[in-house]
Amino acid sequence: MNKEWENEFNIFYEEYTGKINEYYEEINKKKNKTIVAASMIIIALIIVFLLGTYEINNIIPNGYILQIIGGILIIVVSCGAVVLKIKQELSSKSIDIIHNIIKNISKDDNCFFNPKNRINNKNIEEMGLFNLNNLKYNGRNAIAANYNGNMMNFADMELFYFKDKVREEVYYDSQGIKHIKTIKSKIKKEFFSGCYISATLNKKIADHIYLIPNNLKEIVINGTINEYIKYPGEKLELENLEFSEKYRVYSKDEIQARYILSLKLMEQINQIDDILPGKKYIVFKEGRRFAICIQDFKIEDLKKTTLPLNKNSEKLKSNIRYIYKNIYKLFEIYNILDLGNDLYVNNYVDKK
Amino acid sequence: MYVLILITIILIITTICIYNTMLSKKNKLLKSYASLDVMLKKRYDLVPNVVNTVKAYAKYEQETLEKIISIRSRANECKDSKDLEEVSQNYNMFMDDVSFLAEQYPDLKANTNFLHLQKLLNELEEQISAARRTYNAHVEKFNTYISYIPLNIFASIFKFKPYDFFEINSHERETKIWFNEDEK
Repeated sequence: MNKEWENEFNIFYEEYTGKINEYYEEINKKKNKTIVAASMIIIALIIVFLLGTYEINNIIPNGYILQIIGGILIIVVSCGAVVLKIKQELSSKSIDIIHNIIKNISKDDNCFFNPKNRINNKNIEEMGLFNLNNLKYNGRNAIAANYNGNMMNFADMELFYFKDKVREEVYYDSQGIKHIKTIKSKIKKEFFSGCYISATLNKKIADHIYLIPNNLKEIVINGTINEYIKYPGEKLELENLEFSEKYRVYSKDEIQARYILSLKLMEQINQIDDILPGKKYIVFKEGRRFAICIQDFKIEDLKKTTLPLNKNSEKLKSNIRYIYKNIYKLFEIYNILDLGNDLYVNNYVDKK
Repeated sequence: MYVLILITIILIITTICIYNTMLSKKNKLLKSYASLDVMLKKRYDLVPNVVNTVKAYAKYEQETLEKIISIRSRANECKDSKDLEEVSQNYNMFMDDVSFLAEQYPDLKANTNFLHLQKLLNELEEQISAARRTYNAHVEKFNTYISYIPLNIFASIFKFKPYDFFEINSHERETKIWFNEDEK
């Protein structure tokens, strides 16, 4: 990844300082309100406690020790509640920050980011890569932004399945006779957890082309790969060795697959690993869209990078920098795959 | 006696399997060659359109015109990859001429028809490249298969011969893509 993002981040951060100040002012107001409320609760509880323990003093010798411990506990719990509330507020601001970063990078003021939304099932089914009959799908953090004329979509995606587990439990009845009870349970197993990225390709495709990561030995050994991944068509051997080591390519139309996966594109796909490592499932869908599912990269993790409690700490800039860098990585797919630099892009009008 | 019959049956089945595999690989190779051929011919069919567009801007010598017309007719008569390579070389030389003309006549460069043809031909070039890669991949598979020991013995018995690769000629390697300034 080039260092361009760093300059862009510095400009963004300077412009964004005012907004950050607003966040902290807002948080401080809420913090003060919470502290006042918590103090009142503490005082009220201590009064109740004192009245209650007055009787205890008569029953238990040295009852005042109990009083002190109780008082400390109330104060600690109340302070903890205040900190927790402030952290929640700071965390909610991360969503706002991510949205603004997306706006800044894509230059699309109408960009969409909703932490509760996900890519709908139909889209995942159309992708035709994962077998949703056997896999359960869950997702969140949907982003849609127009980046240099290309509608880019991102979202967190989780695919999992339930594995039956059978265990036997031995028990004895009242007459001392041994019984064996079979208990069936289901264990949730993760198949894929990561990020879904889709964009428009500059070439038209008549059928799907599937790129499955080559490091799937563990699933192959278990013999379950067919249950979870679809890959219709023949396996192709392509010219780029590095690419062939990473991916298995399946397509019904070999010439078309080679037309899409030009020598240049194969090298570009290899380059994605430099910025977004992790297993990748890629599908070039019928039409012009394509999707890349990258394991272990999640927008949810960026949301967890909250603002620090102290506004002036160095952590503030480094946290925002971390979020900016990672979102930039997602958009970098556009630049790595050179999606804008093609003669046909300018002439292509998506009828959808 | 039974052992002998069993060995004979195994040998016959093995021979049939080997023959079928060779034939299937050869057919795949021929199919990819046919696709390549179709695309190359599609490209040559566009030559008259390019000529018509260019004609309006630049005067062509009779000799050049004849050369261009012969490219298309020769493309239809190609029998093997060698012939195709030769026609392809002539085609590239013609396109270099067109490229040179486009540089000389800015009006031609801006012509909508010409630009459309340019895009069409560029896309076709990419498809041809994909078809060529497919053909060469099948040639490689087939040639490797029939040269294995003892498959080479069966190959010579059934008269399966290695195929030539569809090579990019040196001229094409040097010029890469014609008249597209961005790609140069």
